[in-house]
Amino acid sequence: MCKNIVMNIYDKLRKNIAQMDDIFKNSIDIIKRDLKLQEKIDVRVYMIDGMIDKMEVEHFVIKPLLSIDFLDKRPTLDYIIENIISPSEIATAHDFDKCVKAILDGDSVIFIDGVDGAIIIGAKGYKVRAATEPPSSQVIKGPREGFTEDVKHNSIQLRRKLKTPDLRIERVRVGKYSQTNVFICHIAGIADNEILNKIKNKLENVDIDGILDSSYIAQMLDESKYSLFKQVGTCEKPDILASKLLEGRIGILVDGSPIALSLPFLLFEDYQSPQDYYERAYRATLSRFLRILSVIICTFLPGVYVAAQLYHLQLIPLKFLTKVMGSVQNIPLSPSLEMFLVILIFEILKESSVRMPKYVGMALSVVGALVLGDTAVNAGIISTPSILIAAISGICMYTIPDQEDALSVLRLLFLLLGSTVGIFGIMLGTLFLLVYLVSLSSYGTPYLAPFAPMVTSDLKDGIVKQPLTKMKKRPFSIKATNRTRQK
Amino acid sequence: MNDVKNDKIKLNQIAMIFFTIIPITKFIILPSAISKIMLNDSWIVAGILMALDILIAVIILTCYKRDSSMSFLDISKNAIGKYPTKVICIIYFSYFMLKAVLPAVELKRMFAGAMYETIPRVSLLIPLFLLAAFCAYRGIKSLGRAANILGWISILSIVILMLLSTPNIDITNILPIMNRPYRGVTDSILSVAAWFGDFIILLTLLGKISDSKKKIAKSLLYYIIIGIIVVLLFIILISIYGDITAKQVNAIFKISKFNTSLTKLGRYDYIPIIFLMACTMFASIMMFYASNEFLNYAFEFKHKFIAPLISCIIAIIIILIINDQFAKLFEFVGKFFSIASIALQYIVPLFIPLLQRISIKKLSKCDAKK
Repeated sequence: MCKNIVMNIYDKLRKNIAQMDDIFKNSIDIIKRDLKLQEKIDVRVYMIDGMIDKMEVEHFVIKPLLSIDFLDKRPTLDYIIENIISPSEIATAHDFDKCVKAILDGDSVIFIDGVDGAIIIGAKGYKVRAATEPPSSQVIKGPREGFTEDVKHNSIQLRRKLKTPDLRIERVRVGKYSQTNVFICHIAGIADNEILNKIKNKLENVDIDGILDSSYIAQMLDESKYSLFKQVGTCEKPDILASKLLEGRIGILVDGSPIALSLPFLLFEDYQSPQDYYERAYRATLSRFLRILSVIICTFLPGVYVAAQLYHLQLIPLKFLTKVMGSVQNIPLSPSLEMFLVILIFEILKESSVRMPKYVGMALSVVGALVLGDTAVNAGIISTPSILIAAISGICMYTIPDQEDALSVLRLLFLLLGSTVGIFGIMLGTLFLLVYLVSLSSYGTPYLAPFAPMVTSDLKDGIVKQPLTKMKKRPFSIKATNRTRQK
Repeated sequence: MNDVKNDKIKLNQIAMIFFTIIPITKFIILPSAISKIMLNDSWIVAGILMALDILIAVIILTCYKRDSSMSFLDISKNAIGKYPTKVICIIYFSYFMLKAVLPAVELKRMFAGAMYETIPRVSLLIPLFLLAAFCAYRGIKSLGRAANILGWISILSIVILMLLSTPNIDITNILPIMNRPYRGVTDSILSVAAWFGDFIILLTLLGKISDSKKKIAKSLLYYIIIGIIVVLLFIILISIYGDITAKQVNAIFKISKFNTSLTKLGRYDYIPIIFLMACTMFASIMMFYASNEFLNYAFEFKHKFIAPLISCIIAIIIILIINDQFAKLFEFVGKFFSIASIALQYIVPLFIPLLQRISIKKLSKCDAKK
């Protein structure tokens, strides 16, 4: 917080009010409700407008307080909690810091004159977006509910999937000003404590002004800060997070973000879709092959096409070569410049379509795809094979939407290598990429596991997916304390 | 110095390294070089040299079995002293450096001959050695993991090429067997030994293997399979080309070229060939790694990056000196380097178990005194 308010609550309500008013000063959204118990004991309730369930506070807190008809002495906190008010979530506080945090979280706080403590009423009541299916994790068969921006709602969704006391959800507050609730979830007895403690330590030591999304936390937890590849797993659905926790990973939910994080993260996780687990194994295997093939096509096709045109015409089959040559012969740009231009236009279209209002989006796709493309070809500036190659590469990129950032950069790098050195450059780049990827690790787990290093038992959920009944053990690539998944 | 404690490799990863680098490096210029002397018996020479290689692997793995924590540096230093060890390490550094340059030059020559419309410059290889330096800096753990993937790519590519070549095989081309004088065998061994002896890399891996010793037998089985693959590739090439095998300089490009499907679909066999060329790069990187390790052993640098940097500069200088004088390089390799290679890859390793025994005795004596 901006001020150091770790100060004990006074037994004089007047002093407490002065302190609280000093903390919140001109905040118009703070509701201050004054009550009088039996017309002699002053009480003040603090809450934030719009963040509380007014009905619950009214019915279970304020009404019971006002209806006290007999008190032989000044009531204690315990007496009020046990005998008078009856909300489901209740706690006590003895310092202002805890009270302020509770109010900012959407709880209500009651100060009573003559009592050196406060009662925190957990009656949050702000509007939460419905748990709709997230656009990036849609499935044909399988659960459709997704996470929302409310961390509590998300933890409830997770709890509904894993009804076990072993599911532990711990809270860390991160951000000096935002005081964002970050929930660390794991299954005790499965997750590795060393990894858990490492994550907790890292989060507790974060010193930043605000956390506005889980991506902030992901960056804090990255082990290689400048890596092209993401180091922390992301998902938007409780079933996916639950399955990750069941494999021994640690999950992280961040208030204000519908994207949950998971650690340790393996590159191959992004090649697995939740759909794979809800359909037959052979179909999942085919889908995984297609995803890998798509990534290869997306990354290498533009570079190889340009390299083939510039240096290795013999790579192109004769009939195809005559077609390509026929299309490119009057193009004023070099093959590499032409491909760069097409990909650049594609990236610009992508950027603008994300930020453009939806009603303009339709017009943009018409302008981008039809007018720009068709006119450029007709004008003889760009050849049709280049547009085709860039389009195929672009479509392939979205088979793995979570890797889109890395793939779009890699595609450009390999295009550059193919243009300057040809296939030799692409081979060198690929080797470099491979050595780089195998050198990465995420919290002690090799990034390319279970392929490099080869973990034979984990290959059951690799490219060739085995039926669920064959996966008796949890992945060995991830450190876990209990290996047996089913008997 | 590299962080030896964490920089470990497993036996199966070592096998994958050899699956990646051995078959392809024997299948570019080598078949032509042996066939010039042995004609259709060249596969026998390949078989003999592979058998010798496996024997050396057995010897080195025996040392690993006896004491898995002892590195080559520990063995040599304790047995013969600091300065003789430095000399040996510098000799091995030079040997591996040339062995790193050889596949790189072959690769460049192959690219110039078969892949590029315009002749690429030798400076093309400079980035390869920069990559090799990066890999050496990363350590054997990363190389082992990379081999986990490249090994399968190599095996798959070789199988595809073998399948594509089968329709054109005429096995009678390898007959009559051993029709050449025995002198030819020794002559060809003396002139091509430099292309073999890859298992000598195991010397640099002593003390870095983190695996159960029970897996040694399995590893040796893999090495024998690698030897069989090499011999099979030779037999296939001879079966296709018969008496003109000696003229097939870039053998890998020739093995599948007569498959009829290629005329309809284009040369899709270039895909596995390109993968195998990447494996050739990896072979060069592995040899560079070994030379880098010996440089480290010789001078025991404090910083991890110094040895790769020096090795990289030396490799680039050698590449620039060689430039496009391939004929002279291969003449040098055939006449001198192969003979030196026989000493370094087949004779010196015979003494390693003895040196290890001396070293262990000396260490136990020291411990007893303490």
